[in-house]
Amino acid sequence: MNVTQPGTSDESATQPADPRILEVRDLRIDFGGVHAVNGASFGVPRGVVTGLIGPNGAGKSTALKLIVGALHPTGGEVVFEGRQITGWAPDRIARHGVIRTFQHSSEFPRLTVMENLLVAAPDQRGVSFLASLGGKRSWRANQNEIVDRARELLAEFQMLHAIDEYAGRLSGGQKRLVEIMRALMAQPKLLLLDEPLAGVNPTLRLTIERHLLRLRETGLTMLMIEHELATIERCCDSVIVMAQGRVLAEGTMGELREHPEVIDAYLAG
Amino acid sequence: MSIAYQTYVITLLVYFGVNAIAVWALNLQYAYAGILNFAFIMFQAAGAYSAAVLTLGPSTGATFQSYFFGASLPFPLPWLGAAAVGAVLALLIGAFAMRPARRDFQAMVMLVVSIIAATLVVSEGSWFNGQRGLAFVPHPFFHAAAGNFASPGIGYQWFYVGLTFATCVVVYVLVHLITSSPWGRRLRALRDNPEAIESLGVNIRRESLKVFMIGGAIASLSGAILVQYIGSWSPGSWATPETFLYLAAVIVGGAGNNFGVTIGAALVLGVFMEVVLYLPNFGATGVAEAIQFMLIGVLILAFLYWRPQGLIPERRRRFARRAADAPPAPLVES
Repeated sequence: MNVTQPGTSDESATQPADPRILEVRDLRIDFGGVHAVNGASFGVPRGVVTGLIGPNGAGKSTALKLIVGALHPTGGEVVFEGRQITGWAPDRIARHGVIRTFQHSSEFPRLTVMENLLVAAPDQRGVSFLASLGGKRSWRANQNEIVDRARELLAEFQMLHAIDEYAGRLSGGQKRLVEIMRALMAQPKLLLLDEPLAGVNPTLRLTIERHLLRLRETGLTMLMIEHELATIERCCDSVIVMAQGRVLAEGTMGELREHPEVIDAYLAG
Repeated sequence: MSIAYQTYVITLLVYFGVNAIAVWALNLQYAYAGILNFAFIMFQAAGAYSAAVLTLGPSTGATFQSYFFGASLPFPLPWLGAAAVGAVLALLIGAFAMRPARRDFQAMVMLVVSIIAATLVVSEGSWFNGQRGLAFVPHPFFHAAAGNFASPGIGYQWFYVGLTFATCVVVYVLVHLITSSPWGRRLRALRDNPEAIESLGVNIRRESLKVFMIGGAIASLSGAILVQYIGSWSPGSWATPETFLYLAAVIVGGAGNNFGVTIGAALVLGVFMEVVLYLPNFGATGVAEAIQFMLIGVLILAFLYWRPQGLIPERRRRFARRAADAPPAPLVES
């Protein structure tokens, strides 16, 4: 299966001319006087991989949660494909194509690997009470198509052997792969990855990194939070640096290495 | 077979049918959607009271019992009405309880609502005749002469068993259609990880509310079936601990498996509860009943500790087509 990005297929003809798929403007959130995100502004270009780095407590994951609607900002705005999505519910934002993965494993442990993928597919039949009453005949053909798609994805990620395994029984790294596959099944326009390599052993890190590089080649737009700078350098076209809830700098890793504030706040630390 | 023995068997069968329907409802809410409904018995009671007032006729105040509304609807309208009341009640409670997507909050709201409802029904005698409850609830298709409260014959009672089991078949098919569908899979994902399924575009509050309403309707239907068989219903029939009997049946039978919870209902609510009744009398009045609940508590804890999946675990849905799907794992444990 070739992973496609809806925004880069036929739809692209009708896409706005703005090269930025996501725009974050003066985003803020306070937790009891602590400014976790304090006026962060940045953009995510369409069709490339953008890294989001910064020291612990910089506000990276909080910013991601604000983008996907898991937290409500106290100020600022989030614009996706030219549309204000600030304050929208997470499910509504997801239905518009912004899909995230989590910092910690977030599989559905008592569902099999295949089921983990199937639940993510948009436009399924039989996913409401009334539709379920129609019986298998009303949704089986549609499900077979989705199963085929999921099977191709599992083959690409070399996970077919675990197709019927409960996701909760997989290793930490395998769970990460399932989560990435699940996000891809949702056909995202923008994929937000929150430390996809956290807690994964070095061998599997390389495997996941290889898959991310392959996804990058398909033109999938991604925003990736990661602490491993070598991975960021290999996978990302541009990088945003955050510290103390603000954006310090943007550029390539090469440029950022020369940036004195970045060196002070992050690279030297 | 003597009439007395037949009556005993019939009573067990009707209760089994009612309990099976009830545990399918609770299974749907608890094992599929992760809703810990500590007010479950209240929904069964709502169905029983609804079916009673929809069949008893208008309350004139001249009889020994008083209740609000009152109608003499023909079968199956009282059962359908009871199911509708259960769904509406679930909507009203769920709209508040499901608002924050926190299961501890939901569970506590249910418990509190259940206790408040029981207190109100007991203290407000004009609703459902207070502590004394409602009696002489008419049986469907059974017309006693005016003023004649004679029980229906054994033939009618067997007919009622058939009616109960026919309803069981309809409810089982309904629940099976739901749980085996992509919606059922989505509900299990919601149970496992609400935040993750929400991040994939699913409105978790709406889905939880839907399944809560369906479960509430089915639970109320079970109450309607029971009240039209036994002919009476009072606050003593739906004390809060009764919910834990149903929960025990689900946990013992196998949460997430409709057949398993049916077995659980037969074992816990049938065999287990009946056997205790045959123990020799000892101690003060009520000791045997107290022991029943103690044993149920121990049973729940024992299963949660040693066999949390229950006797017949949730079925694994398999999609592997061939041996080629299962090469040696290339990935290394992290």
